Order: sequence, then structure tokens, then C-alpha cells
Amino acid sequence: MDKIIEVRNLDKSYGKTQVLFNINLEVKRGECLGVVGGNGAGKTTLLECIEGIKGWQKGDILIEGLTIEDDSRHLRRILGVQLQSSSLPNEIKVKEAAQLFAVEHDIDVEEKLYDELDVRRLLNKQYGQLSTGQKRRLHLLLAILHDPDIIILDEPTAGLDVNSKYLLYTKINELKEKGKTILLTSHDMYEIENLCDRVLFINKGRIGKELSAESLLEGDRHIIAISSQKNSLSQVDTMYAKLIEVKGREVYFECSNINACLKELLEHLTAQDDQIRDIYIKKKTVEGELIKMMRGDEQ
Amino acid sequence: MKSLKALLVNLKIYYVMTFRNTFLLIAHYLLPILFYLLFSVIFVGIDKANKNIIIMSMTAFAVAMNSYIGLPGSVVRYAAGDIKRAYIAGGISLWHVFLCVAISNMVHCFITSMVILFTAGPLFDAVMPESMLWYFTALFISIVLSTIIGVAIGMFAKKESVATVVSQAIFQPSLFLSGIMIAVKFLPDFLQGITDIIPLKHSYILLQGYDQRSLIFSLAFIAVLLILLVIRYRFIIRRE
Repeated sequence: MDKIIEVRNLDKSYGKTQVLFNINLEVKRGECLGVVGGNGAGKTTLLECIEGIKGWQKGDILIEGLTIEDDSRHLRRILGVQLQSSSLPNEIKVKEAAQLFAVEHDIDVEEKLYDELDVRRLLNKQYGQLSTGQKRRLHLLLAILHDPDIIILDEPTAGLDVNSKYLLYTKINELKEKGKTILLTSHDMYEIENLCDRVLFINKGRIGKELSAESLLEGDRHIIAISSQKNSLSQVDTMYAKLIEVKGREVYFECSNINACLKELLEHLTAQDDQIRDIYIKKKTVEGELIKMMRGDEQ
Repeated sequence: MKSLKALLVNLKIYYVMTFRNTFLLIAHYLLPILFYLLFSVIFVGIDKANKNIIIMSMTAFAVAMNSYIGLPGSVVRYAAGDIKRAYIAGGISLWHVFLCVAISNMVHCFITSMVILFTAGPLFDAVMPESMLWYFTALFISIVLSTIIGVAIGMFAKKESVATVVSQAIFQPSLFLSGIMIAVKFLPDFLQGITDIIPLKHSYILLQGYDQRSLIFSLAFIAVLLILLVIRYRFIIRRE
């Protein structure tokens, strides 16, 4: 797969505050890249630089080998963008908004898109009358109605109910199957794990780890979230059970060998005459890696 | 062709949107017409001779009110904030938007002016303009000038609250220094000297009849403001 987006040595500042430091990344054509990080890490700023909404002080951003100054009209044609915070005039109707965006690309809106994103019944509603989920679906519609090659989605499911999320996941998977390149940020780790081919971690404006989907599924690494009656596990850190985080009464461990890990924890609980209140086990996830990265940074 | 089609679709949408916004409806139609009726009753009641100029003065007033009060808020929401970002990200030309909002305002001004033109006679025994051809020419120039001022307020203000304050700061003095409320000759000497920089004064004079000086002033205001708007537009679409 060839590169469709290249970011090289990107620095971005707001006034005297630098927020992106020497960012280098490549997105291959047809892949779905997830960008994760804590609040204020620089995810949205990075995406908005790629989208051409924000400028930067140093570095290059190339899309299909072109910069935004080279041919902004062509780039707007191949880019579809759903911003994190986006708005339209409250008085505009859904159908009018679609027409407005479509006519700028000299196309007609494909009627089936209204059904795929469940906005047909909203066509005559004004933007100000829509719920958060309905607005998100509309903004996704506006991002893809001109059939762009690259789709950038900044927290597309934030604030949505389960049904709306499912609709969006279905649509994103369809776009992936069509070979679209997708750049996605989200705080929903389930979304990132299940939609993305690759995940990039960003922390305080710097690119940290990179994980492929395969590496997440491989190996025998698990995360255990466990709470006990006497809370005796909060200081435990053993050969197989590595303490990640303590959240109230819940203690998180990363286990390289789940059987050995559980055995160690149970031995400790028995020795302390403690009992499990609740336990949750899952395979190593993006969330675990993110917590590790953020915790490591705090230390 | 594509650009023209986009412009026409934009124009239809932005014009129709006015009627869904209560504030805009009030600012563009209800208030100007109510004030026209009220002021006409007062002015003609004070001095019957005012019926000779009531159409011109109230038209100038209504056009200014439409443009200085009703228009800037509509412009500023596209010049800054999340709507602007959504439009840029979606590939929508902001100049299309500003142009369509301006044309939409010009249509509102024209409709209000026609209401005044065709009701002032029956209601207040107003005298019609001597030359309808010149009157419509002057009306067009006045509407264009006022609209450009309204767009400028909206494009330079970064927030709606700022636009509102600036609108009032320009509209109120314009009203009193233009000769609409008080004849210029009755103003103190030092104020008479500065009335030439009030675009509304020249619009009012042109509506009363051909005046070369006011025509030159009006066209000069239009030219200068257009240049400023082009410069400002480049700042608006610049990446943050």
C-alpha cells in the first residue's frame, strides 16, 4: 500500500505554547489509523493541521504528495472531514445542508446515504432541532457525501447512544471495505480496537507507541481489573502481575501469563485473608497501553 | 457554470433561512416597517411639508436598519467559530456564503423599500419621487452601500456581541447626522463638518434626487469598503 498522507517533522504552537513536537507519521492508502491519547495530548490539533484548518510553524504535510497550498480544491475534493466540534446555522434544514455541501463539489446527494445514516426522517428538520446523535450522523453524511478517498473523523461517536454508535460503526466498516483511508480519533477504546488497522499513541504533543491490530491480538497478555474486600492488592507488583493503576478499590494488573498471574494474586489474597469482590479479565488492549503511557509520563 | 449553480443554491437557502429566524425577521421586516409607520405619523404630524421627503427618509432609515442591525450577526457567525470551520473543512467557499448573505439582505432591503414606497402615499399622502428611474438607481446604490457596511461590521467583529455593539455605535450616530431625523443645517457647526463621512447622509441625499457630490462619495465608500473586505476575507480564510 502506498502512502497517502505524510506528516514530516511537524511542529505546531499556539502563541508561545508548543503543542506538537516533531510529529512524523505516514498513513497508507486504504488503512484505518487510530490516534489515541489523553485530553490535551494534541490529537485534534494534529488532525486539524492535516485537514488544513490549522497552520503550523515547521514541517510538511503531504496528501497524495500535495500540500494544501498546491491544490486546495483537489484536496478538499478527496478529503472528507468530521470535526470534533462542528456546527451549522440553526435554521438550516438537514436536506438543505446536504445540498449546500453537495453543490460545492458539483454532485447530487445519493439518496441511499440518507437511509444508511438514518437521517431520512430528519430531512425537513432544522439543525437546531436535532439531538447530539442526529447532528453527528448529519456531519458524517456531510463528510462522505462527495465520496472522498480520505476520511478524517475526530471522535465521531462522542455523546452517542448505542444505536447511533452501531450505525456509525457499520458505515465506517463499509467505507473501509471500499478501500477508503480513514484517520480516526476516539476515547472509546472498543471503537479503536475494532475499527483500526493500526493505532498511534500521542502524548503531550509527541508520538509515542505504535501498535498494529495484529500485535494487539497476539501473545498472551491480559489486563485484570480486581477489587477485594480488604483492598490488599493495591501494593502488589509481582513477576507475572504488574501493577498498572489503582482506581479507588479497583486495581489494574497487566499479566504476561494469565494462569501464573491469577495464581500469584490468589496466593496473596489468601495470605492476607482477603476475598475477591469483583474481577474482570480481558486481553491486552489499547486502553491498557494508553494508561501505561500516561502513567509512565506522570512518573 | 458550476460556481453559478452553487451560488444560486446558496442564495436560495440563505434567503429562506431568514424567515426561520425570529430575530432576523424582526430586524429585517417588522422593526423597519413599524418604525417607518411610527416616524411617519410623527414627522407628518409635526409638519405637513415632511410628506415631500417621507418616502426618501424612511427608505434610507429602513435600508440602514436592515443592513446595520440585521445583517452583521448573520455575517459574523460564518466569519468565526465552528460554522466557519465546518464550512472550510467541507470545502464550502466562504465568499459564496458572504455574497449570498449580502444579496439576501439586499432583497430584504428592496422589499421593505417597496412597502414604504407603495404605502406612504395612501397612508400619509406622501409625494412620490420625481424620477422613478433615478429613484431606483439611488435605491440600488444605497442598498449596496448599506449592505457592504453591514457585511464589514460582521466580518471585522470576531463575536456576535461585538458586532451588536459596533452596529449600534454606527447606526445611531448615522441616523442623527444623516439629516433623516434632524436636518443637517440645524446641527452644530462642528457636527455639520463631519457629516460628509456618514454614508447614510449621502444615500438620503441621492434618494431625494441626483447629486454629483453624494454620488461620488457613495461610490468612493463602496470602493474603499470592498477593498477592505477583500483584505479581511483573506485573513478570515487563513489557517488558524
